Amino acid sequence: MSAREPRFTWLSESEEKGLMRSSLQGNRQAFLALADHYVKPVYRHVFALTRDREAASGITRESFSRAWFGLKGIPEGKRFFPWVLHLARNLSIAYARRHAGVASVHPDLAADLSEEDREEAVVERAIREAIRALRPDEQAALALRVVEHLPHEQIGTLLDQPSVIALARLSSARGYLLQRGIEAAAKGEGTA
Amino acid sequence: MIHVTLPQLCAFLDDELAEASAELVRRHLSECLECTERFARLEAQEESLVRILSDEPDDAFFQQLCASISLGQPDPVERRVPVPETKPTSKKDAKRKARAKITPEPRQKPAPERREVSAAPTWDEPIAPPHAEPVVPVEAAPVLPVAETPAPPVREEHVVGRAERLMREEPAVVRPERPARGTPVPARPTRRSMVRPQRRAEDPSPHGLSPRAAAIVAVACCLVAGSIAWVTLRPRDNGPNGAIPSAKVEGATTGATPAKASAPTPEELLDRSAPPAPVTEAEEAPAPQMAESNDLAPEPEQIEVETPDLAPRENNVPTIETPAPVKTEPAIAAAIASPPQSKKKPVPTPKPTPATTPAPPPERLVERATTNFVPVRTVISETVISGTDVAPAAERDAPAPANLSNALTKPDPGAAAMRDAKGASLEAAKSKTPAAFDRSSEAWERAIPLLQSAPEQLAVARREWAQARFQAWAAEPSAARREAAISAARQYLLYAPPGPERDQAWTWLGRLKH
Repeated sequence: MSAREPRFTWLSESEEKGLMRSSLQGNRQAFLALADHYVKPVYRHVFALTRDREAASGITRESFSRAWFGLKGIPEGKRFFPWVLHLARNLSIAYARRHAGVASVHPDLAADLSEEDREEAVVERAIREAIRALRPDEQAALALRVVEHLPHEQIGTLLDQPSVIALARLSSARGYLLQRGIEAAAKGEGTA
Repeated sequence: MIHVTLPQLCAFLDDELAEASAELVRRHLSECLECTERFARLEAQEESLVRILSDEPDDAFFQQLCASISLGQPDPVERRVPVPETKPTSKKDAKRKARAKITPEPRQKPAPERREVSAAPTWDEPIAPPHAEPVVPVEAAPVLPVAETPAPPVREEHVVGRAERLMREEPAVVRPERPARGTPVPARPTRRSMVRPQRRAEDPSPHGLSPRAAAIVAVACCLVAGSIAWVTLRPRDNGPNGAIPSAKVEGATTGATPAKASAPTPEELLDRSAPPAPVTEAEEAPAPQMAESNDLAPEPEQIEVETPDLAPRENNVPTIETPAPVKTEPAIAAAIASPPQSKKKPVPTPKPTPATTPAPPPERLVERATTNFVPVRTVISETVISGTDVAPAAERDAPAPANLSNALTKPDPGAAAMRDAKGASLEAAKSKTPAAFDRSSEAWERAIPLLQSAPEQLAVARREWAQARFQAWAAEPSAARREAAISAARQYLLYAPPGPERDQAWTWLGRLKH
């Protein structure tokens, strides 16, 4: 059981509203203050969805750029972070879709690995592959939980879903990965 | 053995279970090897996921990333296109056209695709304001490939008319500052202009006309299309809501489609001179793109979200022709007792006073006796919680009138046991002594086997039993009372539906265990 604290803090609502208001009036510094506060979680989320540092930094940059240009269109009452995370997630999904056919390149397992380490590496490789087969919302829920340590309620808020749906997404994703890991471990044992 | 489900394990792993539920899962894991192994695998997988999904760059990386966010335009508000409000239908299209044509580099494409197209690090390129003139030093013009490619026939030698400019320049290029008539157009050092001379040199005029003739044709097309578009789309002809009458749209499209497609309308030309609209989420976020192709597209909630079933509702609609008024109990009694001619009048359903209410039939009295139980239970709970004397309310809701037992054709032992138990509960609520709570719980326990044919009453009896046991323990704790209370709470929780009462029972259980 892991009772970990969330890795990022929300700006207070009043402060965020003030910064957004200033940004809407053309104040770049206000927008950059918003970006500065949220760039880390956005980057971490995008990296979790793409597993590519270069793509993650590019998508993060593009997300904030689009957020700046589209700040006028932010839905009434919606907070900045879920909105920009939504932009980033959509860009990440588009990126993943374009790279869907590209096979992952895994380094060969070292020959001097012990039996346990080898099995662990095989399972991890299987998980890495299986993540790509998850649905985008499952990936997003998993990323928000594993990377950001967010509670289910906040995951639901960020994904525009109730918290029970977030739990359902998480459990289905974990169950699928677990199954794939077990299969890979069994196959590894069979081949060994 | 009933195993723990995967969602329960996940919630336990994430520390999202209530304490009582977590305790149950913990207890199960201590007994069940299969679930323990499963949970261990989940934990190990979680560690792998952290390794796979996490990336921890240093702060300098984020500072650099933050500094490289390009905010091409100082004020996002200024980027809105001033579109006449009289044409709301074409507003979005005009904005989209303007943005697509004016923007030097299409921004609708997600950035990674641009990265694939060119080797240049386009992520790092600042996004130029779409409507801004490309800022390039004048000295840079001779260096451009214009001089290297076979240049088109000498443009500087003759006067460039409007038609020739339209021929020569792509219609998307908008010049805020129009050069004076008669001056040669300088080469524009934009990306587009860098490739255009080559294209012009390689592609001779496909229609075989001389440039001047082609220019005349183009001007004519332009004028015709513009006038047709102006006549058909002018605001005063719009419908009451600003919509264009369909007949006119059809006329415009059938008659003038080729001309309109080949030349811009005056409104399009007007829109091109304006800066594009800011990117809104609905237009720019690639959510629609997600749905247009493969299986990675996010699907709408299919399973978990409860959507109302429309089919039965549709089927029900025709059957509810005249919705019958809901008859209250006195109204039903009045309808039974009243002569048949009273049916001609619509029976109003006012709240009758007890004095004027006719005596209900025995069947209704039986129903009332059973339904009256619920308020009594509520009263008992309130009494216990608030500690106030609610005897008048209890008397008001006291079920059994004197003639009820006479009305019943067959004595029901369950009902009698319920009456006894309720009486004991009332006494316990008044006295609040452990002995009274014990008596109450024993009375409820006796009533439970007699209520097997009445599930609702059985559920209530189980709850009252558990509550009385807990209150007895709370009033004077002892090991025996604790065991009895835990047993009663578990019995209740086995059958209790979700809700606040069930949650309260979990709270009792938690207190009893710690």
